[in-house]
Parts: sequence; C-alpha cells; structure tokens
Amino acid sequence: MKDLLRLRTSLSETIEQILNEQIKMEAEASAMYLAMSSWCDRNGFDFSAGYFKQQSDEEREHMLRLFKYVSDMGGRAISPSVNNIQVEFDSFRSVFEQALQQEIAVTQSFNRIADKCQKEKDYVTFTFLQWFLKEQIEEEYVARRALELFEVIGEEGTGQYEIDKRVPKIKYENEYEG
Amino acid sequence: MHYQQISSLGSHLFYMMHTAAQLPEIYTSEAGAVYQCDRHNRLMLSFAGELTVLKLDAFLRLKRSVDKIDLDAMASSPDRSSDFSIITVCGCDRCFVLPLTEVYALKELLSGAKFVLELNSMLHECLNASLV
Repeated sequence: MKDLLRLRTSLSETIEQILNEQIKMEAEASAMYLAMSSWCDRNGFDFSAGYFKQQSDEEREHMLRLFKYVSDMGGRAISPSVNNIQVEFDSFRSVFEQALQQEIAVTQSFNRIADKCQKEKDYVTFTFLQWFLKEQIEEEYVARRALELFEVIGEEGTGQYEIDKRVPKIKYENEYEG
Repeated sequence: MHYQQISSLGSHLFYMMHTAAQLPEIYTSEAGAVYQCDRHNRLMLSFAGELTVLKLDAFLRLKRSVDKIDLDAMASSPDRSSDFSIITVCGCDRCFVLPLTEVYALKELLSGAKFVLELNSMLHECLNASLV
C-alpha cells in the first residue's frame, strides 16, 4: 500500500500547522510594526517611523520565507488574516517596549518550533529554522538597544529627539572584534 | 473489496472499472469503510450507502471539518437547526447532511482511517530505515 501521506508532502500535519501559525505571527508582527511606524510619523518621530517601516518589511520577508518553504515542501501554505492591529500607543517609550516584547515572543515561538521539529525528527525543517533563530539574535539585540537609549539619553529636553535620531543607527555586529 | 462490488455503491468509480484489482481496506467501522486506490492515489469513503472518491487533501479537509463539529453543543441545543450538521469541503462533491449519531460515526471512521494512514507512513519509514 502506497504511503499517500508522505507522497503528498514531506511535512507532517503538526509541523505544517505550526509553520502556518508562525506565518500568521510574522504577518501580525509586520502589521504591528507598520502601526508603530504610523504612530511615530504622526507624533513627529521621523527617524523611528522609517525604522519601524523597515522592520515591517523585514517581518513580511520572514513571512514569505516561511510561506515558500511550506509550499516547496508540498504543504498547504495559508495566507493569513490579520485583524485588530493596535493603532494607538501610550508613549514613545511604550512603542519600543512593545517592539521588544514582540521580538521576544517571536524568538520563543521559533524555539518551540525547533523543539517540536526535534521531537518529530524533522531535521530538514529544523535546519531551515536555523536562519530564523540566528536572525532573532539581531532582532532582539536591536530592539533592546533601542529601548536602552531611553535610559542612556533620557527623555527630558531634546532627549526624545536625540533618541529618535539614534534609533536607525543601531547596528548589530555579527563578528567579534577583539 | 473488488471494484465490481464498489461500483454498485456509487458512480464515481466508473473510470476505474477497467480492472478487477483489489483495493486495500484502510479502516472499517459499522458505519462504513475507507479504501485506498494506489493506482489513482485516491481514498474512497463508503459511508451511509454512498461512495465518495477523495484526494488525500480533500480527505484531510473533510476530517478537519468533521472534527470541528461540537457534538456536545449539537446534543444540548434545543434548536432544530442543531439536529443536523451540513458538511461540505472543497474537492469533495458530496454534501453531507448528518444527524448527531452519523456525525459521530463519520468522525470515528475518519479518525480510524487517518490513524492507519499514519501507521502506514511509519511502517514505510521503518522499512526504508532497515534497508540502510
């Protein structure tokens, strides 16, 4: 008797489902960053608006990477619905706090997927995930550094303006320079 | 089960009747049975006196749809619309209109078939592994 399940796709139903959930999470993150960009724009934080727009594009690119993988493996990639994205934020600082929380949630989610892949012995998907796990180091680093600017520079006087200017300049150095 | 026997259950198998090869029976319950056709990579669901030919995708969609039906809610609701569930999925030309007992029976049948499909997949993997 033929193995119809395996002929259809290399992904198990569980892995296909969690990858589709991750596709949705990336789409929501992209939409959330766009909302943050909009908020920054209308509150005069020009540089941060550009930074969040770029983050939004990156999250969408992550979503498409996952989408392509599921399709390439014979799975059913689902274009996600994104609803009820937050519009207003309490303050300039809270935008960055939320951005960091979002990145932490994404990292945790990828960790759970990697764990699931190991349990299911799906090392092909596990290897595919390595790029995302590495990417999350940078994502969390940048988000955390941006938030730290509020402590380092302070919000008083022209502080917010200085923070806004510094945000897009945060860069993650991948290699150790001794 | 022979094609000649199956053909009496529905018209879907007309195009396959050129052979009398046996179809592997995947799972049988009192309510029906699921067979696999290796020649066409299709599953055949025999349920409530009708035969439905499904691609694997459609079979999985049907299973998901049936699994989503809340049997407790159906049983406890006095609303007449809760007496039956209507199940339609893409890739399946049959519309199931089923009372609670039949939904339960279909759910059990599809779950059993899915389990055997997974078991078959595992066996294939074990056999392949033993060759290495």
